[in-house]
Amino acid sequence: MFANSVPVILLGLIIGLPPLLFLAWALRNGQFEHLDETSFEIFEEEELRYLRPWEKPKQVSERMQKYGKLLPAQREGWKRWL
Amino acid sequence: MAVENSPASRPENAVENATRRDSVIDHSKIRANVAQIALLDRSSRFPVLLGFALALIWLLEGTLLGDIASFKFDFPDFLGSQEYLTFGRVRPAHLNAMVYGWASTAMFAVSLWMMPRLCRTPLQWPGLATGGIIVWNIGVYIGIILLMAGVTDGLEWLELDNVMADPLLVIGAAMVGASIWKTLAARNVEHLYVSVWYVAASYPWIAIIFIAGNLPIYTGSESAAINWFYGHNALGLWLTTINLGLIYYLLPKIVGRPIYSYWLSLIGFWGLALFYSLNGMHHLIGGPIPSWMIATSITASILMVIPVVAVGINQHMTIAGRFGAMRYSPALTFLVLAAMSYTAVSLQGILTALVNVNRVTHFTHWTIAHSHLGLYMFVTLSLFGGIYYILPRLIGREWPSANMIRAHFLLVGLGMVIYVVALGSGGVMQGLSMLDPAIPFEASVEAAKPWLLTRSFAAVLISIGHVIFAAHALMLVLRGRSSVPEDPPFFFVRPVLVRNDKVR
Repeated sequence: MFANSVPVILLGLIIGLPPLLFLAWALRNGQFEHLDETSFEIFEEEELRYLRPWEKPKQVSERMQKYGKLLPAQREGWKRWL
Repeated sequence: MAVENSPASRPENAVENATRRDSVIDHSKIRANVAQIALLDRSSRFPVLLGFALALIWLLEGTLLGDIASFKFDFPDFLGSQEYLTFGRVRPAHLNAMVYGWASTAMFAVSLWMMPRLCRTPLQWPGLATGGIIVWNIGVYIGIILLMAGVTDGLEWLELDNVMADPLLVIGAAMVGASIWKTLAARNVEHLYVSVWYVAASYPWIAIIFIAGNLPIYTGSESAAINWFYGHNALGLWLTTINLGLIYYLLPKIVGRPIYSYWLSLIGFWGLALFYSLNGMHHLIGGPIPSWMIATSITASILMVIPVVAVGINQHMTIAGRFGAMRYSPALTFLVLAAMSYTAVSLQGILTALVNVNRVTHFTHWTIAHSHLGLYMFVTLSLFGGIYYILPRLIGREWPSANMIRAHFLLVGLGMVIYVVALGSGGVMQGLSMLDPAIPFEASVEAAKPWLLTRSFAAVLISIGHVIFAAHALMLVLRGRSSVPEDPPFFFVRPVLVRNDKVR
Protein backbone atom coordinates (compact mmCIF):
# COMPACT_ATOMS: atom_id res chain seq x y z
CA MET A 1 0.00 0.00 0.00
CA PHE A 2 2.86 2.38 0.81
CA ALA A 3 4.21 2.05 -2.73
CA ASN A 4 0.83 3.21 -4.02
CA SER A 5 1.02 6.24 -1.74
CA VAL A 6 4.32 7.53 -3.11
CA PRO A 7 2.84 9.65 -5.95
CA VAL A 8 0.46 11.37 -3.53
CA ILE A 9 3.27 12.06 -1.05
CA LEU A 10 5.48 13.45 -3.83
CA LEU A 11 2.70 15.62 -5.21
CA GLY A 12 1.85 16.87 -1.72
CA LEU A 13 5.47 17.94 -1.32
CA ILE A 14 5.62 19.53 -4.79
CA ILE A 15 2.54 21.60 -3.99
CA GLY A 16 3.34 22.25 -0.33
CA LEU A 17 7.07 23.02 -0.26
CA PRO A 18 7.24 25.99 -2.68
CA PRO A 19 4.80 27.99 -0.53
CA LEU A 20 7.15 27.43 2.40
CA LEU A 21 10.04 28.83 0.36
CA PHE A 22 7.95 31.79 -0.79
CA LEU A 23 6.86 32.35 2.82
CA ALA A 24 10.54 32.54 3.83
CA TRP A 25 11.16 34.97 0.94
CA ALA A 26 8.19 37.07 2.00
CA LEU A 27 9.42 37.23 5.59
CA ARG A 28 12.94 38.21 4.53
CA ASN A 29 11.71 40.85 2.10
CA GLY A 30 9.45 42.74 4.46
CA GLN A 31 6.15 41.55 3.01
CA PHE A 32 4.77 41.28 6.54
CA GLU A 33 5.75 44.81 7.49
CA HIS A 34 3.72 48.00 7.00
CA LEU A 35 0.57 45.93 6.68
CA ASP A 36 -1.85 48.81 7.14
CA GLU A 37 -0.14 50.81 4.42
CA THR A 38 -0.26 47.84 2.06
CA SER A 39 -4.01 47.57 2.52
CA PHE A 40 -4.32 51.10 1.06
CA GLU A 41 -2.28 50.19 -2.02
CA ILE A 42 -5.34 49.29 -4.12
CA PHE A 43 -6.99 52.70 -3.87
CA GLU A 44 -6.63 55.30 -6.55
CA GLU A 45 -5.97 58.94 -5.87
CA GLU A 46 -8.95 60.47 -4.03
CA GLU A 47 -10.90 57.23 -4.34
CA LEU A 48 -11.52 57.23 -0.60
CA ARG A 49 -12.75 60.83 -0.62
CA TYR A 50 -15.83 60.18 -2.73
CA LEU A 51 -19.10 60.45 -0.92
CA ARG A 52 -20.84 57.10 -0.60
CA PRO A 53 -24.61 57.63 -0.50
CA TRP A 54 -25.28 54.63 1.71
CA GLU A 55 -23.08 55.81 4.56
CA LYS A 56 -24.56 56.95 7.84
CA PRO A 57 -23.66 60.45 9.12
CA LYS A 58 -21.17 58.99 11.59
CA GLN A 59 -19.46 57.02 8.83
CA VAL A 60 -19.34 60.13 6.65
CA SER A 61 -17.69 62.16 9.41
CA GLU A 62 -15.21 59.34 10.03
CA ARG A 63 -14.30 59.38 6.37
CA MET A 64 -13.88 63.16 6.43
CA GLN A 65 -11.62 62.96 9.46
CA LYS A 66 -9.43 60.35 7.84
CA TYR A 67 -9.27 61.54 4.24
CA GLY A 68 -10.29 65.20 4.24
CA LYS A 69 -13.24 67.00 2.71
CA LEU A 70 -15.40 64.63 0.73
CA LEU A 71 -15.99 65.01 -2.99
CA PRO A 72 -19.56 64.97 -4.30
CA ALA A 73 -20.63 62.43 -6.88
CA GLN A 74 -20.07 64.43 -10.06
CA ARG A 75 -21.28 63.41 -13.49
CA GLU A 76 -19.32 60.30 -14.44
CA GLY A 77 -18.37 60.11 -10.79
CA TRP A 78 -19.95 56.68 -10.51
CA LYS A 79 -16.94 55.21 -12.20
CA ARG A 80 -14.78 55.94 -9.22
CA TRP A 81 -16.47 53.67 -6.76
CA LEU A 82 -19.49 51.84 -8.13
CA MET B 1 32.19 44.46 -8.84
CA ALA B 2 28.96 43.01 -10.06
CA VAL B 3 27.13 44.78 -7.26
CA GLU B 4 28.86 48.11 -7.93
CA ASN B 5 27.89 47.95 -11.60
CA SER B 6 24.33 46.89 -10.98
CA PRO B 7 21.59 49.25 -12.24
CA ALA B 8 20.47 49.95 -8.68
CA SER B 9 23.88 51.34 -7.69
CA ARG B 10 24.16 53.82 -10.58
CA PRO B 11 23.85 57.49 -9.59
CA GLU B 12 21.25 58.18 -12.30
CA ASN B 13 18.95 55.69 -10.63
CA ALA B 14 19.26 57.21 -7.17
CA VAL B 15 15.92 59.01 -7.32
CA GLU B 16 14.13 55.89 -8.52
CA ASN B 17 15.75 53.85 -5.76
CA ALA B 18 14.67 56.40 -3.17
CA THR B 19 11.13 56.31 -4.52
CA ARG B 20 11.02 52.54 -4.29
CA ARG B 21 12.37 52.67 -0.73
CA ASP B 22 9.87 55.34 0.23
CA SER B 23 7.08 53.35 -1.31
CA VAL B 24 7.69 50.69 1.30
CA ILE B 25 7.23 53.30 4.01
CA ASP B 26 4.09 55.11 2.94
CA HIS B 27 1.85 53.64 0.31
CA SER B 28 -0.67 56.43 0.64
CA LYS B 29 1.81 58.68 -1.19
CA ILE B 30 2.12 56.52 -4.26
CA ARG B 31 -1.53 56.17 -5.20
CA ALA B 32 -2.12 56.05 -8.91
CA ASN B 33 -4.41 58.59 -10.49
CA VAL B 34 -7.34 57.80 -12.75
CA ALA B 35 -5.38 58.41 -15.94
CA GLN B 36 -2.62 56.01 -14.89
CA ILE B 37 -5.12 53.31 -14.01
CA ALA B 38 -6.85 53.83 -17.37
CA LEU B 39 -3.50 53.27 -19.09
CA LEU B 40 -2.99 50.04 -17.15
CA ASP B 41 -6.50 48.88 -18.06
CA ARG B 42 -5.78 49.66 -21.70
CA SER B 43 -2.75 47.35 -21.64
CA SER B 44 -4.92 44.37 -20.72
CA ARG B 45 -8.09 45.40 -22.54
CA PHE B 46 -8.03 43.02 -25.52
CA PRO B 47 -7.24 39.73 -23.74
CA VAL B 48 -9.67 40.59 -20.94
CA LEU B 49 -12.54 41.35 -23.33
CA LEU B 50 -11.74 38.25 -25.38
CA GLY B 51 -11.73 36.15 -22.22
CA PHE B 52 -15.08 37.50 -21.06
CA ALA B 53 -16.65 37.01 -24.51
CA LEU B 54 -15.55 33.38 -24.75
CA ALA B 55 -16.50 32.76 -21.11
CA LEU B 56 -20.04 34.02 -21.71
CA ILE B 57 -20.45 31.68 -24.68
CA TRP B 58 -19.31 28.81 -22.45
CA LEU B 59 -21.70 29.92 -19.73
CA LEU B 60 -24.65 29.54 -22.11
CA GLU B 61 -23.44 26.24 -23.54
CA GLY B 62 -22.61 24.77 -20.15
CA THR B 63 -25.98 25.87 -18.78
CA LEU B 64 -27.84 24.19 -21.64
CA LEU B 65 -25.91 20.97 -21.07
CA GLY B 66 -26.67 21.18 -17.34
CA ASP B 67 -30.38 21.63 -18.01
CA ILE B 68 -30.45 18.61 -20.31
CA ALA B 69 -28.63 16.51 -17.70
CA SER B 70 -31.01 17.68 -14.97
CA PHE B 71 -34.19 16.90 -16.95
CA LYS B 72 -32.93 13.40 -17.64
CA PHE B 73 -33.45 12.65 -13.92
CA ASP B 74 -37.11 13.64 -14.24
CA PHE B 75 -37.75 12.21 -17.73
CA PRO B 76 -35.21 9.42 -18.33
CA ASP B 77 -36.10 9.10 -22.02
CA PHE B 78 -35.64 12.83 -22.68
CA LEU B 79 -33.28 13.15 -25.70
CA GLY B 80 -32.22 9.58 -25.12
CA SER B 81 -32.33 8.47 -28.75
CA GLN B 82 -29.05 10.19 -29.63
CA GLU B 83 -25.90 8.66 -28.15
CA TYR B 84 -24.15 12.00 -27.79
CA LEU B 85 -26.99 13.32 -25.65
CA THR B 86 -27.06 10.46 -23.17
CA PHE B 87 -26.53 11.32 -19.51
CA GLY B 88 -23.06 9.75 -19.34
CA ARG B 89 -21.82 12.23 -21.93
CA VAL B 90 -23.91 15.31 -21.26
CA ARG B 91 -23.19 15.47 -17.54
CA PRO B 92 -19.34 15.50 -17.81
CA ALA B 93 -19.66 17.86 -20.79
CA HIS B 94 -21.65 20.24 -18.53
CA LEU B 95 -19.05 20.03 -15.76
CA ASN B 96 -16.09 20.60 -18.08
CA ALA B 97 -17.82 23.41 -19.97
CA MET B 98 -18.52 25.24 -16.72
CA VAL B 99 -15.18 24.60 -14.97
CA TYR B 100 -12.74 24.94 -17.88
CA GLY B 101 -14.84 26.90 -20.35
CA TRP B 102 -16.78 29.44 -18.32
CA ALA B 103 -15.03 29.78 -14.96
CA SER B 104 -11.40 29.31 -16.01
CA THR B 105 -11.64 31.54 -19.08
CA ALA B 106 -13.35 34.29 -17.06
CA MET B 107 -10.69 33.85 -14.37
CA PHE B 108 -7.95 34.34 -16.97
CA ALA B 109 -9.62 37.63 -17.89
CA VAL B 110 -10.07 38.71 -14.27
CA SER B 111 -6.47 37.97 -13.35
CA LEU B 112 -5.13 39.70 -16.47
CA TRP B 113 -7.16 42.79 -15.51
CA MET B 114 -6.13 42.80 -11.86
CA MET B 115 -2.40 42.17 -12.15
CA PRO B 116 -1.41 45.37 -14.02
CA ARG B 117 -3.43 47.43 -11.53
CA LEU B 118 -1.95 45.68 -8.52
CA CYS B 119 1.61 45.70 -9.86
CA ARG B 120 1.28 49.26 -11.23
CA THR B 121 2.77 48.24 -14.53
CA PRO B 122 1.25 47.55 -17.96
CA LEU B 123 0.38 43.95 -18.74
CA GLN B 124 3.49 42.24 -20.05
CA TRP B 125 3.25 39.98 -23.09
CA PRO B 126 -0.45 40.71 -23.77
CA GLY B 127 -0.20 38.90 -27.12
CA LEU B 128 0.97 35.77 -25.35
CA ALA B 129 -1.92 36.03 -22.91
CA THR B 130 -4.37 36.42 -25.80
CA GLY B 131 -2.86 33.42 -27.54
CA GLY B 132 -3.05 31.46 -24.30
CA ILE B 133 -6.76 32.13 -23.93
CA ILE B 134 -7.37 31.05 -27.54
CA VAL B 135 -5.29 27.86 -27.22
CA TRP B 136 -7.02 26.97 -23.92
CA ASN B 137 -10.46 27.43 -25.47
CA ILE B 138 -9.60 25.37 -28.54
CA GLY B 139 -8.48 22.63 -26.17
CA VAL B 140 -11.73 22.78 -24.20
CA TYR B 141 -13.82 22.71 -27.40
CA ILE B 142 -11.93 19.70 -28.75
CA GLY B 143 -12.21 17.96 -25.39
CA ILE B 144 -15.95 18.50 -25.08
CA ILE B 145 -16.68 17.48 -28.66
CA LEU B 146 -14.71 14.30 -28.03
CA LEU B 147 -16.53 13.81 -24.72
CA MET B 148 -19.88 13.97 -26.48
CA ALA B 149 -18.56 11.57 -29.11
CA GLY B 150 -17.78 9.12 -26.33
CA VAL B 151 -14.03 9.72 -25.92
CA THR B 152 -13.25 10.27 -22.25
CA ASP B 153 -10.44 9.64 -19.80
CA GLY B 154 -13.07 8.37 -17.36
CA LEU B 155 -11.87 10.28 -14.30
CA GLU B 156 -14.05 12.90 -12.64
CA TRP B 157 -12.93 16.46 -13.46
CA LEU B 158 -10.29 14.92 -15.76
CA GLU B 159 -12.57 13.60 -18.49
CA LEU B 160 -11.07 15.70 -21.30
CA ASP B 161 -8.93 13.62 -23.63
CA ASN B 162 -5.33 13.60 -22.44
CA VAL B 163 -3.89 13.41 -25.97
CA MET B 164 -6.00 15.80 -28.03
CA ALA B 165 -7.26 18.30 -25.45
CA ASP B 166 -5.19 18.33 -22.26
CA PRO B 167 -1.86 19.42 -23.85
CA LEU B 168 -3.63 22.46 -25.33
CA LEU B 169 -5.02 23.36 -21.90
CA VAL B 170 -1.55 23.10 -20.34
CA ILE B 171 0.02 25.23 -23.08
CA GLY B 172 -2.80 27.80 -22.90
CA ALA B 173 -2.60 28.16 -19.11
CA ALA B 174 1.21 28.36 -19.28
CA MET B 175 0.99 31.20 -21.83
CA VAL B 176 -1.44 33.20 -19.70
CA GLY B 177 0.59 32.37 -16.58
CA ALA B 178 3.79 33.57 -18.26
CA SER B 179 2.15 36.93 -18.93
CA ILE B 180 0.95 37.12 -15.31
CA TRP B 181 4.38 36.29 -13.87
CA LYS B 182 6.21 38.58 -16.27
CA THR B 183 3.90 41.40 -15.12
CA LEU B 184 4.66 40.47 -11.53
CA ALA B 185 8.40 40.57 -12.25
CA ALA B 186 8.04 44.04 -13.82
CA ARG B 187 6.03 45.45 -10.89
CA ASN B 188 6.50 48.97 -9.60
CA VAL B 189 5.49 48.23 -6.03
CA GLU B 190 7.51 46.57 -3.32
CA HIS B 191 4.69 45.11 -1.28
CA LEU B 192 2.51 42.47 -2.85
CA TYR B 193 -1.16 43.02 -2.05
CA VAL B 194 -2.85 39.79 -0.94
CA SER B 195 -4.70 39.47 -4.27
CA VAL B 196 -1.34 39.28 -6.04
CA TRP B 197 -0.35 36.32 -3.89
CA TYR B 198 -3.61 34.55 -4.68
CA VAL B 199 -3.50 35.20 -8.43
CA ALA B 200 0.20 34.57 -9.01
CA ALA B 201 0.19 31.32 -7.01
CA SER B 202 -2.82 29.96 -8.89
CA TYR B 203 -0.99 29.52 -12.21
CA PRO B 204 1.86 27.22 -11.13
CA TRP B 205 -0.59 25.33 -8.93
CA ILE B 206 -3.05 24.59 -11.76
CA ALA B 207 -0.19 23.62 -14.07
CA ILE B 208 1.28 21.16 -11.56
CA ILE B 209 -1.98 19.53 -10.49
CA PHE B 210 -3.38 19.36 -14.02
CA ILE B 211 -0.26 17.72 -15.47
CA ALA B 212 0.06 15.37 -12.48
CA GLY B 213 -3.61 14.42 -12.61
CA ASN B 214 -3.51 13.63 -16.32
CA LEU B 215 -0.35 11.50 -16.40
CA PRO B 216 -1.47 8.09 -17.71
CA ILE B 217 0.71 6.14 -15.28
CA TYR B 218 -1.59 5.45 -12.34
CA THR B 219 -3.60 2.32 -11.77
CA GLY B 220 -6.22 1.10 -9.31
CA SER B 221 -6.62 2.90 -6.00
CA GLU B 222 -3.57 5.04 -6.77
CA SER B 223 -5.48 6.45 -9.73
CA ALA B 224 -8.46 7.28 -7.49
CA ALA B 225 -6.16 9.01 -4.99
CA ILE B 226 -4.53 11.13 -7.70
CA ASN B 227 -7.95 11.83 -9.22
CA TRP B 228 -9.18 13.42 -5.99
CA PHE B 229 -5.84 15.04 -5.31
CA TYR B 230 -6.51 16.87 -8.57
CA GLY B 231 -10.26 17.39 -8.18
CA HIS B 232 -10.11 18.98 -4.78
CA ASN B 233 -7.04 21.06 -5.51
CA ALA B 234 -8.58 22.34 -8.75
CA LEU B 235 -11.31 23.78 -6.56
CA GLY B 236 -9.08 25.05 -3.74
CA LEU B 237 -5.89 26.09 -5.52
CA TRP B 238 -7.37 27.41 -8.76
CA LEU B 239 -11.08 28.27 -8.70
CA THR B 240 -10.98 29.53 -5.10
CA THR B 241 -7.75 31.47 -5.20
CA ILE B 242 -8.38 33.80 -8.12
CA ASN B 243 -11.89 34.56 -6.90
CA LEU B 244 -10.72 35.31 -3.37
CA GLY B 245 -8.11 37.60 -4.92
CA LEU B 246 -10.88 39.34 -6.86
CA ILE B 247 -13.05 39.76 -3.76
CA TYR B 248 -10.13 41.11 -1.71
CA TYR B 249 -9.51 43.65 -4.46
CA LEU B 250 -13.03 44.83 -5.28
CA LEU B 251 -14.79 44.67 -1.93
CA PRO B 252 -12.68 47.42 -0.29
CA LYS B 253 -12.69 49.55 -3.44
CA ILE B 254 -16.47 49.60 -3.80
CA VAL B 255 -17.21 50.04 -0.10
CA GLY B 256 -14.50 52.66 0.18
CA ARG B 257 -12.50 51.36 3.12
CA PRO B 258 -9.45 49.11 3.32
CA ILE B 259 -9.76 45.48 4.23
CA TYR B 260 -10.59 45.07 7.94
CA SER B 261 -7.37 43.27 8.83
CA TYR B 262 -4.65 42.88 6.29
CA TRP B 263 -2.89 40.51 8.68
CA LEU B 264 -5.90 38.16 8.66
CA SER B 265 -5.94 38.21 4.87
CA LEU B 266 -2.35 36.96 4.84
CA ILE B 267 -3.22 34.23 7.35
CA GLY B 268 -6.02 33.20 5.01
CA PHE B 269 -3.69 32.94 2.03
CA TRP B 270 -0.81 31.17 3.74
CA GLY B 271 -3.14 28.81 5.58
CA LEU B 272 -4.67 27.79 2.26
CA ALA B 273 -1.27 27.47 0.59
CA LEU B 274 0.17 25.26 3.31
CA PHE B 275 -2.78 23.08 4.32
CA TYR B 276 -5.05 22.75 1.32
CA SER B 277 -3.15 20.34 -0.92
CA LEU B 278 -3.74 17.36 1.41
CA ASN B 279 -7.53 17.72 1.53
CA GLY B 280 -8.57 15.69 -1.51
CA MET B 281 -8.35 12.22 0.04
CA HIS B 282 -11.42 12.88 2.18
CA HIS B 283 -13.43 12.09 -0.96
CA LEU B 284 -12.26 8.50 -0.58
CA ILE B 285 -13.35 7.87 3.01
CA GLY B 286 -14.20 4.19 3.18
CA GLY B 287 -12.27 3.49 -0.02
CA PRO B 288 -9.35 1.06 -0.49
CA ILE B 289 -6.53 3.49 0.26
CA PRO B 290 -4.22 3.62 3.31
CA SER B 291 -5.98 4.80 6.46
CA TRP B 292 -3.13 7.20 7.29
CA MET B 293 -3.87 9.01 4.04
CA ILE B 294 -7.54 9.44 4.96
CA ALA B 295 -6.63 10.51 8.51
CA THR B 296 -4.10 13.06 7.22
CA SER B 297 -6.68 14.43 4.81
CA ILE B 298 -9.36 14.77 7.48
CA THR B 299 -6.85 16.53 9.75
CA ALA B 300 -5.85 18.92 6.95
CA SER B 301 -9.53 19.53 6.19
CA ILE B 302 -10.19 20.48 9.82
CA LEU B 303 -7.11 22.74 9.80
CA MET B 304 -8.76 24.61 6.95
CA VAL B 305 -11.06 26.12 9.58
CA ILE B 306 -8.24 28.59 10.31
CA PRO B 307 -7.92 30.21 6.87
CA VAL B 308 -11.64 29.92 6.13
CA VAL B 309 -12.68 31.66 9.35
CA ALA B 310 -9.91 34.24 8.86
CA VAL B 311 -11.24 35.07 5.38
CA GLY B 312 -14.87 35.02 6.54
CA ILE B 313 -14.31 37.35 9.49
CA ASN B 314 -12.17 39.68 7.43
CA GLN B 315 -14.63 40.05 4.58
CA HIS B 316 -17.62 40.36 6.90
CA MET B 317 -15.96 43.04 9.03
CA THR B 318 -14.94 44.98 5.92
CA ILE B 319 -18.55 45.40 4.85
CA ALA B 320 -20.14 45.38 8.31
CA GLY B 321 -22.31 48.47 8.76
CA ARG B 322 -22.30 49.11 5.03
CA PHE B 323 -24.53 46.37 3.69
CA GLY B 324 -26.75 49.13 2.30
CA ALA B 325 -24.12 49.58 -0.39
CA MET B 326 -25.42 46.38 -1.96
CA ARG B 327 -28.56 48.26 -3.03
CA TYR B 328 -26.41 50.49 -5.22
CA SER B 329 -23.79 48.21 -6.64
CA PRO B 330 -24.64 44.94 -8.39
CA ALA B 331 -20.95 44.09 -8.43
CA LEU B 332 -20.80 44.38 -4.66
CA THR B 333 -24.02 42.41 -4.23
CA PHE B 334 -22.67 39.46 -6.18
CA LEU B 335 -19.27 39.67 -4.49
CA VAL B 336 -20.74 39.74 -0.97
CA LEU B 337 -22.95 36.74 -1.71
CA ALA B 338 -19.95 34.96 -3.18
CA ALA B 339 -17.84 35.73 -0.10
CA MET B 340 -20.57 34.43 2.20
CA SER B 341 -20.92 31.32 0.06
CA TYR B 342 -17.17 30.71 0.28
CA THR B 343 -17.37 30.59 4.05
CA ALA B 344 -20.51 28.44 3.95
CA VAL B 345 -19.24 25.92 1.41
CA SER B 346 -15.86 25.64 3.10
CA LEU B 347 -17.37 24.94 6.52
CA GLN B 348 -19.82 22.53 4.88
CA GLY B 349 -16.88 20.80 3.18
CA ILE B 350 -15.00 20.49 6.48
CA LEU B 351 -18.10 18.90 8.07
CA THR B 352 -18.49 16.56 5.11
CA ALA B 353 -14.91 15.41 5.62
CA LEU B 354 -15.87 14.01 9.03
CA VAL B 355 -16.48 10.27 8.82
CA ASN B 356 -19.90 10.30 10.51
CA VAL B 357 -21.25 12.99 8.19
CA ASN B 358 -19.59 11.51 5.12
CA ARG B 359 -21.26 8.16 5.79
CA VAL B 360 -24.66 9.81 5.23
CA THR B 361 -23.87 12.25 2.44
CA HIS B 362 -21.47 10.26 0.24
CA PHE B 363 -23.04 8.91 -2.98
CA THR B 364 -26.09 11.19 -2.59
CA HIS B 365 -27.40 14.34 -4.24
CA TRP B 366 -25.99 16.28 -1.27
CA THR B 367 -22.63 16.21 -3.03
CA ILE B 368 -24.13 17.95 -6.08
CA ALA B 369 -25.71 20.60 -3.84
CA HIS B 370 -22.35 21.10 -2.09
CA SER B 371 -20.41 21.40 -5.34
CA HIS B 372 -22.93 23.93 -6.72
CA LEU B 373 -22.71 25.97 -3.55
CA GLY B 374 -18.98 26.19 -4.20
CA LEU B 375 -18.75 26.32 -7.96
CA TYR B 376 -21.80 28.46 -8.53
CA MET B 377 -22.66 30.52 -5.47
CA PHE B 378 -19.03 31.26 -4.73
CA VAL B 379 -17.11 31.05 -8.01
CA THR B 380 -19.75 32.06 -10.56
CA LEU B 381 -21.35 34.82 -8.48
CA SER B 382 -17.89 36.24 -7.79
CA LEU B 383 -17.16 36.26 -11.54
CA PHE B 384 -20.53 37.93 -12.23
CA GLY B 385 -19.55 40.62 -9.73
CA GLY B 386 -16.18 41.02 -11.40
CA ILE B 387 -17.72 41.32 -14.86
CA TYR B 388 -20.26 43.91 -13.63
CA TYR B 389 -17.37 46.00 -12.30
CA ILE B 390 -14.80 45.47 -15.05
CA LEU B 391 -16.75 45.57 -18.33
CA PRO B 392 -18.01 49.19 -18.07
CA ARG B 393 -14.46 50.35 -17.35
CA LEU B 394 -13.05 48.59 -20.40
CA ILE B 395 -15.92 49.41 -22.75
CA GLY B 396 -16.19 53.00 -21.53
CA ARG B 397 -19.91 53.12 -20.77
CA GLU B 398 -22.34 51.92 -18.15
CA TRP B 399 -24.59 48.87 -18.25
CA PRO B 400 -27.64 49.87 -20.30
CA SER B 401 -30.45 48.46 -18.16
CA ALA B 402 -30.90 48.36 -14.40
CA ASN B 403 -33.96 46.13 -14.89
CA MET B 404 -31.89 43.47 -16.63
CA ILE B 405 -29.39 43.55 -13.76
CA ARG B 406 -32.23 43.09 -11.25
CA ALA B 407 -33.72 40.25 -13.30
CA HIS B 408 -30.35 38.54 -13.58
CA PHE B 409 -29.65 38.80 -9.88
CA LEU B 410 -33.11 37.69 -8.75
CA LEU B 411 -33.26 34.73 -11.14
CA VAL B 412 -29.84 33.29 -10.42
CA GLY B 413 -30.03 34.08 -6.69
CA LEU B 414 -33.47 32.58 -6.20
CA GLY B 415 -32.74 29.69 -8.53
CA MET B 416 -29.57 28.76 -6.72
CA VAL B 417 -31.11 28.94 -3.25
CA ILE B 418 -33.90 26.59 -4.41
CA TYR B 419 -31.31 24.35 -6.06
CA VAL B 420 -29.04 24.00 -3.03
CA VAL B 421 -31.84 23.64 -0.47
CA ALA B 422 -33.72 21.07 -2.60
CA LEU B 423 -30.77 18.88 -3.43
CA GLY B 424 -29.17 19.31 0.01
CA SER B 425 -32.34 18.24 1.86
CA GLY B 426 -33.13 15.51 -0.65
CA GLY B 427 -29.55 14.27 -0.47
CA VAL B 428 -29.57 13.88 3.31
CA MET B 429 -32.90 12.03 3.20
CA GLN B 430 -31.59 9.86 0.39
CA GLY B 431 -28.46 9.05 2.43
CA LEU B 432 -30.43 8.17 5.55
CA SER B 433 -32.71 5.91 3.48
CA MET B 434 -29.74 4.13 1.94
CA LEU B 435 -28.21 3.50 5.37
CA ASP B 436 -31.41 1.89 6.65
CA PRO B 437 -31.35 -1.81 5.71
CA ALA B 438 -35.13 -1.97 6.13
CA ILE B 439 -35.71 0.48 3.26
CA PRO B 440 -35.22 -0.89 -0.25
CA PHE B 441 -32.89 1.07 -2.53
CA GLU B 442 -35.75 1.81 -4.93
CA ALA B 443 -37.56 3.71 -2.15
CA SER B 444 -34.59 6.06 -1.74
CA VAL B 445 -34.72 6.77 -5.48
CA GLU B 446 -38.47 7.44 -5.35
CA ALA B 447 -38.02 9.76 -2.36
CA ALA B 448 -35.47 11.83 -4.29
CA LYS B 449 -37.74 12.45 -7.29
CA PRO B 450 -39.58 15.58 -6.02
CA TRP B 451 -36.27 17.15 -5.05
CA LEU B 452 -34.82 16.43 -8.47
CA LEU B 453 -37.83 18.00 -10.18
CA THR B 454 -37.40 21.07 -7.96
CA ARG B 455 -33.76 21.18 -9.01
CA SER B 456 -34.77 21.18 -12.68
CA PHE B 457 -37.17 24.07 -12.02
CA ALA B 458 -34.33 25.98 -10.32
CA ALA B 459 -32.05 25.19 -13.25
CA VAL B 460 -34.53 26.79 -15.66
CA LEU B 461 -34.64 29.97 -13.54
CA ILE B 462 -30.85 30.11 -13.50
CA SER B 463 -30.70 29.52 -17.27
CA ILE B 464 -33.06 32.43 -17.95
CA GLY B 465 -30.87 34.59 -15.72
CA HIS B 466 -27.80 33.60 -17.75
CA VAL B 467 -29.50 34.43 -21.05
CA ILE B 468 -30.47 37.86 -19.71
CA PHE B 469 -26.92 38.46 -18.45
CA ALA B 470 -25.32 37.46 -21.75
CA ALA B 471 -27.83 39.55 -23.74
CA HIS B 472 -27.15 42.51 -21.46
CA ALA B 473 -23.39 42.18 -21.95
CA LEU B 474 -23.96 42.08 -25.71
CA MET B 475 -26.12 45.21 -25.49
CA LEU B 476 -23.38 46.96 -23.53
CA VAL B 477 -20.80 46.15 -26.19
CA LEU B 478 -22.98 46.91 -29.21
CA ARG B 479 -24.47 50.20 -28.07
CA GLY B 480 -22.45 53.10 -29.37
CA ARG B 481 -21.33 55.91 -27.14
CA SER B 482 -23.92 58.24 -28.63
CA SER B 483 -26.72 55.87 -27.73
CA VAL B 484 -25.90 55.90 -24.03
CA PRO B 485 -29.02 57.16 -22.27
CA GLU B 486 -28.99 60.70 -20.90
CA ASP B 487 -29.43 59.33 -17.40
CA PRO B 488 -27.65 55.98 -17.27
CA PRO B 489 -28.96 53.80 -14.46
CA PHE B 490 -25.95 54.37 -12.27
CA PHE B 491 -25.41 58.06 -12.89
CA PHE B 492 -27.92 59.36 -10.43
CA VAL B 493 -26.85 57.58 -7.34
CA ARG B 494 -29.82 55.50 -6.47
CA PRO B 495 -30.51 51.93 -5.50
CA VAL B 496 -30.22 49.55 -8.41
CA LEU B 497 -31.55 46.33 -7.02
CA VAL B 498 -34.37 47.87 -4.98
CA ARG B 499 -36.61 50.50 -6.47
CA ASN B 500 -36.57 53.75 -4.54
CA ASP B 501 -37.48 56.74 -6.67
CA LYS B 502 -37.14 59.15 -3.76
CA VAL B 503 -33.41 58.75 -3.73
CA ARG B 504 -31.78 60.98 -6.29
